[in-house]
Amino acid sequence: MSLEKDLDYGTPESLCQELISLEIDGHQVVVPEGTSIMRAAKQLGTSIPKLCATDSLEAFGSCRLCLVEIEGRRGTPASCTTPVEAGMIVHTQTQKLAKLRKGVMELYISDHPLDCLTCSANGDCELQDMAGTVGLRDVRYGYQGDNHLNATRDNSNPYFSFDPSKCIVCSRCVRACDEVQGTFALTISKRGFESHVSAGIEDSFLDSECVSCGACVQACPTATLMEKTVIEHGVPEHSIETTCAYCGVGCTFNAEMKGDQVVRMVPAKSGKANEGHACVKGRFAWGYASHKERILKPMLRSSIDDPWREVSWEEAIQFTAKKFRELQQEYGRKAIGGISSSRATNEEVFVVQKLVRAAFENNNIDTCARVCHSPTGFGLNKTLGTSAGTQDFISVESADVILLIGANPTDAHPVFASRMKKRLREGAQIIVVDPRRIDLVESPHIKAAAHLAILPGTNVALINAFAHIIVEEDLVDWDYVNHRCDKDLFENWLAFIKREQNSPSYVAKVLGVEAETLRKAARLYARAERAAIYYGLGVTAHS
Amino acid sequence: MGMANLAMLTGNLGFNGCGVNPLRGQNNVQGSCDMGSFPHEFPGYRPVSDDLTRLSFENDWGLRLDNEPGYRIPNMFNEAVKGSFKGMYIQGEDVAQSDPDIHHVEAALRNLDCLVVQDLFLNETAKYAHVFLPGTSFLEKNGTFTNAERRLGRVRPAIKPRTGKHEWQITMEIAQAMGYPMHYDDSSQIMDEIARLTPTFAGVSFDKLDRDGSLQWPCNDEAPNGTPIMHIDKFVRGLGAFEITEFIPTEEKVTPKFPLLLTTGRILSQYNVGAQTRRTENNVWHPEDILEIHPYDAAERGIKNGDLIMLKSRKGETSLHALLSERMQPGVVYTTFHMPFSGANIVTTEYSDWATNCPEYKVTAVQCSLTDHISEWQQHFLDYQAKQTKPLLQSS
Ligand code: SF4
Ligand code: SF4
Ligand code: SF4
Ligand code: FES
Repeated sequence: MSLEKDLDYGTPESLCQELISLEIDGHQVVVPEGTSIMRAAKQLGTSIPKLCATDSLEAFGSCRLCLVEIEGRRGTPASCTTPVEAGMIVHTQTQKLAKLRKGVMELYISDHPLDCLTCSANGDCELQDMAGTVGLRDVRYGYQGDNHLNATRDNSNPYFSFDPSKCIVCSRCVRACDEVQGTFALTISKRGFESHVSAGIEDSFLDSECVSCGACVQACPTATLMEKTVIEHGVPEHSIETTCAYCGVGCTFNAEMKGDQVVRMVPAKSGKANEGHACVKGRFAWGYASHKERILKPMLRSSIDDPWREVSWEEAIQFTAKKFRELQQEYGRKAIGGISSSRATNEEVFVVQKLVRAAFENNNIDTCARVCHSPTGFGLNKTLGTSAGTQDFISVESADVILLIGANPTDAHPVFASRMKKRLREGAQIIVVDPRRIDLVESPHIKAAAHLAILPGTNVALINAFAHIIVEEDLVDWDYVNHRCDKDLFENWLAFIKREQNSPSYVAKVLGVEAETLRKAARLYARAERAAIYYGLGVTAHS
Repeated sequence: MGMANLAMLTGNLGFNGCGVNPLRGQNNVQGSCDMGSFPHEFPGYRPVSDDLTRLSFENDWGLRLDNEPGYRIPNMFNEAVKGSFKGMYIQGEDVAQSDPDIHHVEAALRNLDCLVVQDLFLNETAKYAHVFLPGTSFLEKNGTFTNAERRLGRVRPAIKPRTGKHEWQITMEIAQAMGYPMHYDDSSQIMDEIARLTPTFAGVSFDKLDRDGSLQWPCNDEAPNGTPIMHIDKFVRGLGAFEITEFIPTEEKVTPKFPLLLTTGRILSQYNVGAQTRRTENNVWHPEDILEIHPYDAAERGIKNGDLIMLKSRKGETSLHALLSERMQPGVVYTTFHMPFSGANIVTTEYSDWATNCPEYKVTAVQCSLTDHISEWQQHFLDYQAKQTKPLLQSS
C-alpha cells in the first residue's frame, strides 16, 4: 500500500471510444464502454467498499464486498466485475447491501488477528478501513473455530515479510505479480478454507522465482505483505515525489518519510515512465544513502600515500581552486580538465561543463558515458538528426514485433521489461538477438519467435543481413523510402547492402546462426504492421 | 545507424509502436550527454566551433570561450602520463575502474598533481586523489534526470544534503574561488539557464515540470508539451540518410591458447560497479560475480558447479566461481562485473568498458581453468583496499 492515497478507481481505465450514460445513486454519469460500475461510481465521488479490486489490476470479483443493486436485475452483482450498460440505474447504498457487506466483513475479521493497534499497518490497512466503512464494531463469530492465526511468517526476503495469518486471500498479490510485474511467482494453493498464497511450489520468497519488485507488497491491502522498513519505523507521515537514480527507465517515486527518515519508496501511478511499478533497486535498495562508509566531510591530503585529513568546505574549495590555477600557470591553460557524471542531475552536469569552459577556460570536459554511447548516438544523429531514442516507453504497447538487440531489459531496465512482457502476453512477437539465452527468450507466458544466438561482436553483420534480405525479397516500404529519405544516399546504400558479403548465406557463418533462421526473422520484422527496435550496450559502433 | 536504416527501409519510424530506441545504462546517460559533457560540443549537441552557438554562450557567461575541442578521457590520461596534464575534477565516476589498462590509468592518475574526486564513497579513483569532496545521494538532490525516452523528471530532496552542500554548490564555489563569478541561488536557476541557452530545452522549467509532472525534449515553442515520439512527419535532419555500415570483424580471435569468447552483462539486483547496490541487502541475490560456462566446455576442463576458476585473457587474469549453464552455446562464457574485486578491467580488452556501461560490446578471447587461488591483481586489490580504508574507518 502507499501513504499517498492515489485515487483508486478499483478497476483499470477502459480505452473504448463509445460512451455510455447511466445513473448511480440518483446521479447521471457518462463513461467509456467497458468501464465497471465501481469505476463509474468513483468518478462520481462514490467509493463502493472493496477489498480484492484495485485499479492497477483486472477485476477478479472474489471478496464480495462491492455488491450493488441494479434496478430490474435480481441479486446483488459485484460492481468491480459488472460493466456499465446504457440506462442502468444502480444503487450502491441500501439497507440490504449494508447488511450483506457487514456479514462479509465479519467473516474476514473473525479469522484475523485483531491486533490492529500494534499492527505495523495500523492506519494503512484497507481491511481496517473497510471494517470502519461497513460499521463493524464487534465480531459475532469470535475466535472460536478454525482460523489461520498460527500460520508461520516468511522473513526470507531482505526487504519485506509475509505474514499469512493476516492474509484475506484476495489474490491481489498474485495478480500484481502476473499482470504488473509479469514474473508469475505467486499462486493461490489449495481451495476453500485451505487456500493460501505461496511463492512457487511452497518455496520461501527468497528461494522462489520472485525478483523482489515489490508489486505484490504494494498491492496487498493488509499487513500480510509488508515492507520491513515500515515494520521497523512505523507508518510514514509525509511524502515527496522524486525520480529513481538507478537506471535509464527513470521511475517516478513517492519517497514516504517519517521526519528525516525514508520509510518506504512507493512508485507513483502518475509517473509516465513507470505508471506505479518499480524494481528491486529503486523500491528497496536506497539504504546506501546512509551506509556507514559514506563520506560526509571534505578531505585533503598532500600526497596519495598520506592518510586523509578532514577539512572544512572552505579549505577544500580554496585549496582546489588555488592548486588548479597554479597548475595552469605552470603547465598552461589546458593542463586541467573535468569529467562529469551520468548519475548526476542535469543541473549538476551543466555546471561542471560550465566550470570547465568558463573557469578552466578550455573544453577539457568529457563523460564516461560517451565512450560507449556516442557511437550509437552519433549513428542516430547522422541518419535521423537526433542522438536519442525515437519513442516514449508506452509506444511498445502498440508494437506488433519487437526486435531486441544486445539488451537484457529484465535485468537492466526491469520496469520497461514488465511493459514489454505485458505486450508480448497480448500477442506481440519478439526476436531476441543475444549470445546468451536471456529471460525474454523463454519465461512464463513468454516465448520468443526467434532467438538469434549470434557470436559476440557480430551485431552489425546481422543488421546488414536483415537489410539485405528485406531488399532481396522486396519487403521494402517503397512509399516511405521515396517520400522520407534522401534518394542519392539510399541508392548508394542499396548498392552496398546488395553485396554478397551481406547475404544471409555469407553472414550466417560469421554469426553462427543459420541463413534460413535469419530470413524468417527478417521477414517477421519487415512484415509487421508496427515493428520496434530496442538495443542495448551490446551493440557496436557501426550498428 | 544500421538499425535506423532497417527502420527506414520498412517504414518503421515516426509512429507509435515503431522506432529505434537505445536502452541506456546509467540513470542520466541521456541527460549528461544532452548537457554538453563533451570536449567538442556545447549542451544540445552543438559544436564548440560553431560561432553562433559559441557567441550565445559567450554573451550569457560574459567571457570569450575556446573554439577548439578539448581532450577526451583517453587523451587526458595520455597527456597525464606524458606530464602535461596535471589536474582533474571528477564528478561521481569511477574512472580507475573503467579503464582496462590498469597500469596506464594508474600511471596517469599518479602523475596528476591535483586530483579532485566528488562522490559518495571512497571509490577506486579516490585512491589517487588529493581532494575528496563528499557528494549527495538522490534523496538529497534537487534537480532533474533525463531517462531513455528523453523524459525530464524532477528529483526532489527528501532530506537536506547530509554533507551540508549541494553538488552544484560545490562546483559553483570552485568556479568562484578560481575567479569566475558563477552564481545561482538554487538549482531552478540552472535549469532556467539551460533553457535559455539550449533550443531543445527552451520550454523547460522547474515550475512547468512541477505542473506537468515530466516533459520529453524537444520542449520549446514548437512543442510546448514536449515530444513523446520523434520524426513524425519528417526527420529532424529533413530527409532520412541511409548510411553505409560495413561490418568490421573484431581483431580479437579465438586461438588454441584462448579458445573461448567472453561476453558480459548485468544482473537485476546489482547496478553497474555496484557502488550503491553492494551497500544494500541486494547482495543476498548476488554476493559475487559468477562465470557461466557451458557444461560441454566445463567437462573438457574438469570444471564443476561452484569450482573456483581462473579466467585468463591476453591481458590478464582474474578468479571467479563457475556456474554450469546452457544459456550460451559452447565456446561462449558469460559473466557480470558488478564487483570491483572481480577485476573486469584486468581481463577485457577495450578502453571504456563495462563501468562506463558498454558491457557487451567488446569481445575478449579467454581461457578458463581450475585454480586454488585468487589472481595476483585481486590480492593486490585486497591489500590496497585494506590500506586505504583502514585509517579512515578508524578515525570515524
Ligand atoms: S516481489 Fe514482485 S516478483 Fe516477487 S512475488 Fe511480489 S510481485 Fe512477484
Ligand atoms: S497476501 Fe495480501 S494481497 Fe495477497 S492474498 Fe493475502 S491479503 Fe491479498
Ligand atoms: S526500473 Fe528500477 S532501477 Fe530503473 S528507474 Fe525504475 S525502479 Fe529505478
Ligand atoms: S472488490 Fe469486487 S468482489 Fe472484491
